[in-house]
Amino acid sequence: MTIGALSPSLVFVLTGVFALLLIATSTVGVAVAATRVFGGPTWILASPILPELRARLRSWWIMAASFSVCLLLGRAASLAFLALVSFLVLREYLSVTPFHASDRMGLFVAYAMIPLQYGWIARGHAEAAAMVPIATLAALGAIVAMRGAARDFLRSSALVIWGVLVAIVALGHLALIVSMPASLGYIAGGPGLMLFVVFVCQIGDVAQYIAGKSLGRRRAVPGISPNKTVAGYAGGLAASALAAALLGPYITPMSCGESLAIGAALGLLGCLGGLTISAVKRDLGVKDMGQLLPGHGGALDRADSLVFAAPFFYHYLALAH
Amino acid sequence: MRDRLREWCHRIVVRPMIRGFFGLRVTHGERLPRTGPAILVANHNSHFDTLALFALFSPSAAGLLRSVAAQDYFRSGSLIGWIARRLLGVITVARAWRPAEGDPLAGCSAALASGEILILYPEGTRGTPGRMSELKAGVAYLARRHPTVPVIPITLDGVDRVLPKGAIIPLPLRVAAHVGRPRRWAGGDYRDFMAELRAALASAV
Repeated sequence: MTIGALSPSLVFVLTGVFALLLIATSTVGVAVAATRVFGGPTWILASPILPELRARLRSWWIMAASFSVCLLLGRAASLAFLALVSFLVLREYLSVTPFHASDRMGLFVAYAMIPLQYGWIARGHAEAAAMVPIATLAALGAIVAMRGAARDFLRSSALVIWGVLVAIVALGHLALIVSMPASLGYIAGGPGLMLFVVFVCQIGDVAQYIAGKSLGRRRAVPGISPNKTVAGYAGGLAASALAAALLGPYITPMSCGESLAIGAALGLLGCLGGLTISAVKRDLGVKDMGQLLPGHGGALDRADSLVFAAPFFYHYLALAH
Repeated sequence: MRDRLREWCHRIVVRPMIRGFFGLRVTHGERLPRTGPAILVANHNSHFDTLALFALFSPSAAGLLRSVAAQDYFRSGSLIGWIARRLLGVITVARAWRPAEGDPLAGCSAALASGEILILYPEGTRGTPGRMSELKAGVAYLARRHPTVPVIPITLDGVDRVLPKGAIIPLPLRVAAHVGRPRRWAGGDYRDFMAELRAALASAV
């Protein structure tokens, strides 16, 4: 069956995503209901993570639904969706960053890079992502030149560049991925590739969360991310590799073995992305970037695993396929 | 009186713009009044403060909001004055009171009597972000005159980064609003009432 711009294999995978969500939601619902009715183990109701788990699942439904609708509506809708994600991530980053009044112009520059980059990508200019950091620097240079005072220039421009790199350039690689052409014998095309990298990274995060909560004890990097355990990272990595091996041959041009290796690499880069954003949050003294997605935090708290994984996946595909 | 134009302006422009484009984080939103009369008291660092306060409310309650501003700033006849009066429900008060003009708070009292919600910035003018200035006494006089009306302190944070004094274009950044415990006039000295309000506003800054 083909729905809109999506190939049958893609529709099948998306259906699988919603089936997973349905299983997770009903498992939690049935466990709670059964405990209430039959008086099962009280720890289920008293568990402090139960409200968080429910909030997380609710947010997952909304994220999966909006993501699917955008894939369904085609490339323009996907680009608009990603531009919105970039905007939300940049806004929550700038909202918690200590800026001086004199840095104000630079923040407008950061926002201006969103239409610039996505406009270029929409017109088929794949080098847009490489150009955006340089355009940002040039604009910041013009501002400091007009102001005529260099005090704190490196500090304030570094804050802007960080936001632009993470929110616009790194996540913008998803737009490059969704724009990739469908080659011969491989019909899922760009949407399939984007679904692949997002799913592999997010399933890694979910597995990391579950493994870390249930069997994790030894903290991996207490100085940066105190809740992350060694078992959590191992579980996340395994889940990413496994999910990639299952999906890869189906919706990407990669073979099963190749998908397994790429899945492991994506999982590893996902962990690194999470840790890097955690280090930023620690340094700024905030727990979450925002509260856009109840149970998860802000948009960047959910997308941090894609910050390095998406560019890696794009360049791997561009070079190897 | 519910103002339909203000209500629709809020539904179509103010609320989506502030909540969607700029971002608003509210703590203790359940303390906000659902209907008037009530007096909201907030710290004032930006012209954006009033829009942020409007966005805290549902469209139907927003139709009841009236913000109180200095007469000289929102002159009648000017475009700004019209927008302020018609779309933001501004009631103007003279900065300096002259006996010949009668009761300076008559407009505020009338609004409360007809069940509206007043927005007051008792610092008098836009102050320095992160620091509460001394409060003007008007809010205490109003509370004494209407002892059944709740006075709700609301601390706004980050609005001065969206639109600082002197800036023209607002920058999309998240704004935080902390709603304090409602209080009523319970007799005593008006200076104590203001000190308590000031402490409530400053504690969340």
